[in-house]
Amino acid sequence: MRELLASAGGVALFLIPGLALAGLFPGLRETPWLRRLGYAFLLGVATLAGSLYALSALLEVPLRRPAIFGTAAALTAIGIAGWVRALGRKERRARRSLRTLPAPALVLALAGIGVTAGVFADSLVYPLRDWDGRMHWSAQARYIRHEGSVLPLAVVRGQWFINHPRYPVLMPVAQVAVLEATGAAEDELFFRSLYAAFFPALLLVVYDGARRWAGWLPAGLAVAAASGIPFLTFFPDGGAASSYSDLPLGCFFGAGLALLLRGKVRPSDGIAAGLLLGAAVLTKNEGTILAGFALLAAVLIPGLRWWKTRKLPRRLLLKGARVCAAASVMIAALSFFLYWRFQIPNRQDENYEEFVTAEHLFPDALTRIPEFGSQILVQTFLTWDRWIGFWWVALLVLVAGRAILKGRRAALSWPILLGFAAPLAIAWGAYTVHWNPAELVRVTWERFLVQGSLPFFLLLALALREALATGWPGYSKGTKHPPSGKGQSVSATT
Amino acid sequence: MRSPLFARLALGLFAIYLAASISHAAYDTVRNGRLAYILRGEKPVEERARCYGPGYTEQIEAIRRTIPPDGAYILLNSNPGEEGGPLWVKFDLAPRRAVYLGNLEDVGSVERLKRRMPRAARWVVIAHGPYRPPVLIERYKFVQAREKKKGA
Repeated sequence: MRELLASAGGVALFLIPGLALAGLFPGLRETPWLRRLGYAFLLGVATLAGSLYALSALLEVPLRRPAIFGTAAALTAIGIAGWVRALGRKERRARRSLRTLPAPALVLALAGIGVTAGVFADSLVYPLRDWDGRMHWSAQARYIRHEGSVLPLAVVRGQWFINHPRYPVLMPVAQVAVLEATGAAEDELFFRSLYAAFFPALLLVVYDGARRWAGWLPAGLAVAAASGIPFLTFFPDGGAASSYSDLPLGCFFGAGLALLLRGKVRPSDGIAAGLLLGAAVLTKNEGTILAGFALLAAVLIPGLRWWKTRKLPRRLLLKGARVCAAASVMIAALSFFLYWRFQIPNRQDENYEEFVTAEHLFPDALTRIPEFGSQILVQTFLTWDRWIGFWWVALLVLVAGRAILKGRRAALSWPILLGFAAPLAIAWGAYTVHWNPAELVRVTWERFLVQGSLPFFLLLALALREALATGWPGYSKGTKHPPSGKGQSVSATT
Repeated sequence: MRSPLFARLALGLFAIYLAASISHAAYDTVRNGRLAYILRGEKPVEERARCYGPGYTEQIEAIRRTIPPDGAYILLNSNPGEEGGPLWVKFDLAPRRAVYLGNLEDVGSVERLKRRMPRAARWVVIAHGPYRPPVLIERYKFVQAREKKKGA
């Protein structure tokens, strides 16, 4: 019982400040409460763990209970002030009842809830079994917790054995926050539920985006598809049941991107997106590149429109302001990360910065594809135990719904596609410069797919909608918006 | 060209995928739920012994009792084919700091070994591979054993 309560408490530690902070952002305030939970959890991890990371590195505040509860309380108070202001303005909020959901949607939602419960149960039954979690993330958390600092001696002195000492430590700090807050003993790994909670957060953000842009049925189908993928759920080396940072990174990056692509443009939502993208920067090294891609995806279509017309209507300006707001928060997070990182001597690391040069990338980016291409295909399409044939059917659905890349839907589909392609582009670069790309593919490729999973499921939902409308022309009559978007702009559907 | 037939085929296969994957996930969910119920109240050390093996867990506990949390040790790998062994030992012994000197067979001469051993590390831990109990030796005994081996 103690383990169950502590695990639930570990999730609540981030969810409560996140729910409160959602009150600061009109876009999140207006999101129906169930769907808001996903963003709120991610925002809670981003802000609480991010604040503790900064407080420890910049002001040497010990990562102990007073700092953890004090910061959580301060964030919650700030967020509540946002809600109070909104209530004072008598802002109208969307009210959705579960009773209004169609029965098939409830069945699909139950699939997601059931698998989520299974992932939480996994975190209660097993100790850590994964590779990276024990090699790096949770080992770092133990050093950080012992000294109460994000710059522990074991890390800042080059003689000690630390794998990837300069990797960002947002998730280890989140682990420490849970362990300290719950008073966990050495082997009580109450933070496992924190990682498991990223899975329902992913489902909720996918559902929110897909519901806005594709309708309830494709949204439900996309969520159900995600729920059934072992690599996202129970797989011990990369799923929600592990303590790998790829799923958290994928959630931060994908949720930030989804907020930046919302049709109703509010610059303040850019700050929420920036907080999530900043968390991506502080979660893994590739987070910086992914966050950059998210900003690029957000300006892609507005930028092209401006290039064609050379006009700056108000809506385009607002979109620009939203991206600038996100970029400013992200750059602040990146500056902080670089400050922290420069204090740590590098060792036991691949040190990609030295390899990634123009002469290494060209022409190797093309000529080395045969060295790793076949391994990628095998792991994507022939690993039944990890994906259960998901990529085969996803590919077929994308081909069937390829019309989303044309017409009005293209304004949304292409940026989302760019979001999915971002981690794959990083993978391509890494495999190009690595001395043993086939081995690197074996241990990393599917994790890059996880990093891009949120935009991919949004794209899948759009393609499902198109395929449903093509296969059953009557389907579109029963939905709110026409499938091809004729006569209806994308922004109006958001 | 948009083909209704192809769209139906794709959606049909998608439905088969959903049925297969959700059943698979449901099986895992039920299994984990059942385990969580059966194993309720299990202590962390018992949980670790169940997953990692009692020999490995007991030895880790013994090393933890010997090396204080702010202590340091020298880590060696006796099984070059298995990279995981020293990593799991390092994780289980954290926050105790480790100096990794690589494979046992590659440590080189005693003089070189002494140069590479930091003063702060009073113990040597030898990992024998994933979940095989590691061995704890006092530093001076380890050096003596290497000197004897060299002499022989």
